[in-house]
Amino acid sequence: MRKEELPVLAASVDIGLLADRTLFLFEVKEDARFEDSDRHLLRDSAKSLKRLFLDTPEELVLSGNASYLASAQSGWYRTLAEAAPRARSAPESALRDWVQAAVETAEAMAEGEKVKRADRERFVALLDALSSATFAYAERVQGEPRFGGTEWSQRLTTVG
Amino acid sequence: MVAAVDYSRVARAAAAVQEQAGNLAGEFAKVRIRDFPNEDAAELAGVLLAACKELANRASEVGEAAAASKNNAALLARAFRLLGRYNQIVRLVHIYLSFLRDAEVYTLPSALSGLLRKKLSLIDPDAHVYMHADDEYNYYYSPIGRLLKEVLESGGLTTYVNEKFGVVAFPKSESGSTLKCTLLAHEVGHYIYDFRQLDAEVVQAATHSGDWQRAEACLTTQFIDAKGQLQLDQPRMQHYWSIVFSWLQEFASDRIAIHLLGPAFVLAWLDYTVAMDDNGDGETHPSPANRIDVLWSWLRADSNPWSDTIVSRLEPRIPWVSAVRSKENLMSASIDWPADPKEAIRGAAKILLPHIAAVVDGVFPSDSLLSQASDYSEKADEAFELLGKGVPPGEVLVNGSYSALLDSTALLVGWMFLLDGLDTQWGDFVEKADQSAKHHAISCLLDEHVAKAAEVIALRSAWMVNS
Repeated sequence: MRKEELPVLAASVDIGLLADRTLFLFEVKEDARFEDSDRHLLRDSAKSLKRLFLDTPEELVLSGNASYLASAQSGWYRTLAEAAPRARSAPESALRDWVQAAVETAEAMAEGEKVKRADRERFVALLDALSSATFAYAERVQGEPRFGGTEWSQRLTTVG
Repeated sequence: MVAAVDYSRVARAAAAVQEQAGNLAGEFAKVRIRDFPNEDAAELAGVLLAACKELANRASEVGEAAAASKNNAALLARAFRLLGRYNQIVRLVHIYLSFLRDAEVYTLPSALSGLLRKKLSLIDPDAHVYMHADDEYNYYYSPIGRLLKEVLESGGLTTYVNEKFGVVAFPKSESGSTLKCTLLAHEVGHYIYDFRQLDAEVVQAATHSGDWQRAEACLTTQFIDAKGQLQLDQPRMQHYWSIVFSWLQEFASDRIAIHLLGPAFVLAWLDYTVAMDDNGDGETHPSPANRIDVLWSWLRADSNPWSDTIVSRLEPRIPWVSAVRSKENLMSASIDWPADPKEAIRGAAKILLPHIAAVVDGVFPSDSLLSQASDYSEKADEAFELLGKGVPPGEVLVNGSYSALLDSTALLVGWMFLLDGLDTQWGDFVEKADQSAKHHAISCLLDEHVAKAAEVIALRSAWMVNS
């Protein structure tokens, strides 16, 4: 991994973890049994989705994160579209609407409101896509595990 | 949806992550404060140790939840993915181990690390920056505290991380060279730019003056079609802006480096890039030639206290600097109707550049550059002569009294000697060093002198403060 990739890797693990923890929460608990810490997690998820996908570049600049987040934002949309089959051919505006709806769902759940089943499913689908995309990215950047020998033996074969 | 997985694998994954996090915690527990030049590294090691313990607990909790629902396929799949995430954090935190190991005091150019730390503390007393010798031949900055804080928080970990931890890195092979590590001033510049949120100040100043809108118009010209219609492609426009902002950050860090160490930084940069093929502007960095052009233009500006020194002393001695400066530079970019996206980006950066300079200058005391320039003009001749005789610049007597050189003067004298190898004084120095010495040996000796000078200057200033 190149050290320049560290900020993007961290951002990827950051949003991916939130997605995975939220999805895990949905499997472990019913909505009615959400505790304060669970609602906090939903709020964080909504905040992160907003920051990564919906904040305008000017807001990113003013929050002091211009250097890597602004450039990452359009990249996140591309990554997301690749991970979600139904979004693959969708224009960016449709993806924005999808994220906007998901943010509203997460915020409503964090406030203890009941949400429509369809909205909840759409939120889960988004988190799922985000989880797959960011997990694959982090695995690629961190590199596949290597156990000595293979690379050298290949090299020796080539030389020989 | 993630793939199905059976319980036994989830249980083993939970145990593996606990072991990995536990072993990593053990490594952080071995960090000894006395191995580092200050307490920052030990503080960071303490944070990482606590985070690893918490990570092991989280993995255990996920394993327990899975054990309670062994037949729930969806839950097991989610648990497995989450454990994979914790494994990713272990690998991420492991990178910090190398940040710490290669920040031990024996790996650092000690004279320069102390000097930069002192200067940084004057700007930001709460700065937490430490230096790290990297395996890669590169100088860089990373806001490791903030990155760690975001990741740990999203993992539900409550370990407190001071987000002001930053690392500046230099190539391991240059750890013995005070002169080469002059470049670290630029990386410290990134830290200051980042934590003072200077980009927000630049946006504010540029918007107030109308230059922000001019820069935007300059970029917008790239989206006007043959019929004169605007066909704005928002993601592409954002991409252009991100390049402009990355460049401004680089120029700002260069300007901060001049404030910290004077033109010695510029000469170090010239030396670093002189043998590189200029591959043109990049997305994160303007080309080295473009940066030299801007740096040199700043120093030559009439309003800059270094102006006289640059024109009368430095330029004649390194005439090749004009050949290094970019032909396709920012200063010549058209801002009214740029020919292509590259020129539009250069044009937008050119419009915003004066705001970068003004905002950075506002961070430093108004006389910081003035005092450095006058110290050099008053003492450099004597320092050159004495350096030629083998006397460290820190031992220079001006007008018979111990009026110590500023550290920036010592560095600049050292750099001039290094770049101005054909000068007669260089010949004197070579004679004193060793008649048969090769360039490398001479550079090392010179470096020793400058390092010694920086140490003597630091000691004297500490003694004067304490007496």
